[in-house]
Amino acid sequence: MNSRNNALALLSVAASNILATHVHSAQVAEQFQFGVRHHNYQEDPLTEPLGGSPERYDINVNQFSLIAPLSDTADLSVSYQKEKMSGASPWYTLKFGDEEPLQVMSGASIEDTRTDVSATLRVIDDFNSYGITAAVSEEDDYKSASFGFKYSRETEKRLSTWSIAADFSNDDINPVDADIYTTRPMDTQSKHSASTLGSYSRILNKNTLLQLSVGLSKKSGYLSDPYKMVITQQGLIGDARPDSKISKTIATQLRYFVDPMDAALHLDYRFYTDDWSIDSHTVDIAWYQNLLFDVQLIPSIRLYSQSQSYFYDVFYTQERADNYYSTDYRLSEYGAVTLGLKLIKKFDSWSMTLSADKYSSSGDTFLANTDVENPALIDFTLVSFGFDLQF
Amino acid sequence: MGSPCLLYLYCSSKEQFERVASQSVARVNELEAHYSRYLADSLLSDINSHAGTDKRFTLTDEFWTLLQYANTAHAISDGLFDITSGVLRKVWDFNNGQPPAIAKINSTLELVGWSKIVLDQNYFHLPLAGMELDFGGIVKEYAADLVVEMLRQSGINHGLVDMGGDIAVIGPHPDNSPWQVAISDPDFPEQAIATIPLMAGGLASSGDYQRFIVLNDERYCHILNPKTGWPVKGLAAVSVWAPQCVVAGTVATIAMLKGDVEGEKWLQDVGCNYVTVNRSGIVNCYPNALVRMSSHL
Repeated sequence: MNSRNNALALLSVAASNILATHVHSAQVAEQFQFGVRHHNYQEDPLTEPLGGSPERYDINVNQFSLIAPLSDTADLSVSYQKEKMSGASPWYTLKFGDEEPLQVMSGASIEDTRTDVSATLRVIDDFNSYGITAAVSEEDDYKSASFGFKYSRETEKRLSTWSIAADFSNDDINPVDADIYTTRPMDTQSKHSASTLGSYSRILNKNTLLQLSVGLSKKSGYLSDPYKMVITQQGLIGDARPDSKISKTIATQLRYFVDPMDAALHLDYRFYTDDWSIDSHTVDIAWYQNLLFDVQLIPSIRLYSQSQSYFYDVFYTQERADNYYSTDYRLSEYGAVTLGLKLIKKFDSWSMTLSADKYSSSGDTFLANTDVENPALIDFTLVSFGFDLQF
Repeated sequence: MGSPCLLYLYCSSKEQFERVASQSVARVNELEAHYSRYLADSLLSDINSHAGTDKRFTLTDEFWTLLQYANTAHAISDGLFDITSGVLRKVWDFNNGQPPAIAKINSTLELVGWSKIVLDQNYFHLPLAGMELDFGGIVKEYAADLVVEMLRQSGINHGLVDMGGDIAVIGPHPDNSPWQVAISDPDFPEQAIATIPLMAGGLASSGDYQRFIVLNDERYCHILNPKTGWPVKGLAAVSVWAPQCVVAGTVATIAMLKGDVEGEKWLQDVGCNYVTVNRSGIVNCYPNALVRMSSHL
């Protein structure tokens, strides 16, 4: 590049800076926005369960969301979600000699309904954005309430944004049929969670946005799964986990708009570590392709893997001094691949979304490489469709 | 803005058009209220009328980045693009056909000079009584870029914004065909000398077709050289395409200020897309494929 061309580049940067001071990246909603989604989540049946039912969860979710402008500087978002689930869930594992471990399932009689309601109030004042969120969630055996706030500040040239968020929640678990199953606690159990997330995003140039974030979370109280059981030397006991967990995350998100293809690449990576010795890596890659007739097609792939928690085993042959026992597949070493395809079609003042995701997990997917895979690892299909309307 | 401003938009409904059009008009009016030298109560007029006094101004971020932009334009043009040069217009009367007294030009030149200004966002002032800032070469083009950005954020993907001949494109027609923008013939402004197909970015033009002065049988355009105080014997017309309209406008103005031969050479060095018409009526353009010449040529 010669010095004259450099002159043009200098002018272009100075011009971008003027626009950046004016065009607010954080804006309150100017119109009412209403969205409806229906999701069907279906886990594949287990091939070789022992007892119970091979049919695992089938969950249907209906979501409604509304964003309402309140003034030039404030908006309110409300969402309501109703979830109906049925199917069987993994109970405990069995192992005979050197054979592969087997999963014992519950009967397929589990049926539950969950209702979530949340509201977020957001106020924007020039460079600053303030948000507070309150949410409640209820199932037959479960009540949760949470509260959070978020503060974001844009730099003067609006090229970068700093934000900090904090969330607090309290969950009460009251397991059903505790009088029949002695492994389930008789009294209401509680857990508390506090988490904070700091992030920094920066527009690197007109095509590239980079975000970095770090998170810290602490959970305490009853962190076991009351419906899972473990066979130990003492016999069948309830799932027993430590009563606190501290986790840390570091994540990066890259958004790159590819001008000649009228498309955007989304590339995300997240590292998670906790004091139960689970480390996980998540890579998300998505391609947002704009097509003719206001159609957007988004193929995506997610790769995930984690190490196992220090007290997990697929089957216990020895007593543990700390008395922590869990054969939950979610604490095992495993990896997963999710392939997704989403289609969005925009019309005048509304849009339609259709998406499908196929998730499959195993003991040696992505970075995972375990000797003995947990027999309850799941594969599932998630199909969603919905509408968004502006008025 | 002192000239007709037009919006060509493809909207999903009349209501959408009316909403985005009124937002655009409101924002352009806001720019005018801040930066117009014609409005006595604009922020710019306030600063200009307090030149040489003790009054200091805290500038908004937008005002400040406009000054930073002017500073960059001044630096890359070796001082030719100077937003303090507007005061020279007061001594030149393009209708009377006579140059002003040399002494008058020289005394006015004392009030011109970007480098005389201390750039301080919280303590801004013009140091000499009679000094003036003039955003004439920047704000109209910036307004076109800004309106395009606002319309994109409102979901408009196809359209064109014309701020008195300074053009910024939101996106091509819905069938992906380009906008055909005609460039006026400097000698016959009602006729097109060339047509430029535009899909994106901004197009700005500078030329002597509106106002000029003939001195000793030579035609001088209304653009004044801030170093000499005299009009330039420039190109007859320059149109420049750049990703931003404001950049196109600045490059076109600098090319005019540099004069016939130097201006053409400078445009080539800069490496942007342009069309020039010199005083002999010769049309040059880069790249050639950019322009469709009108048939009468």
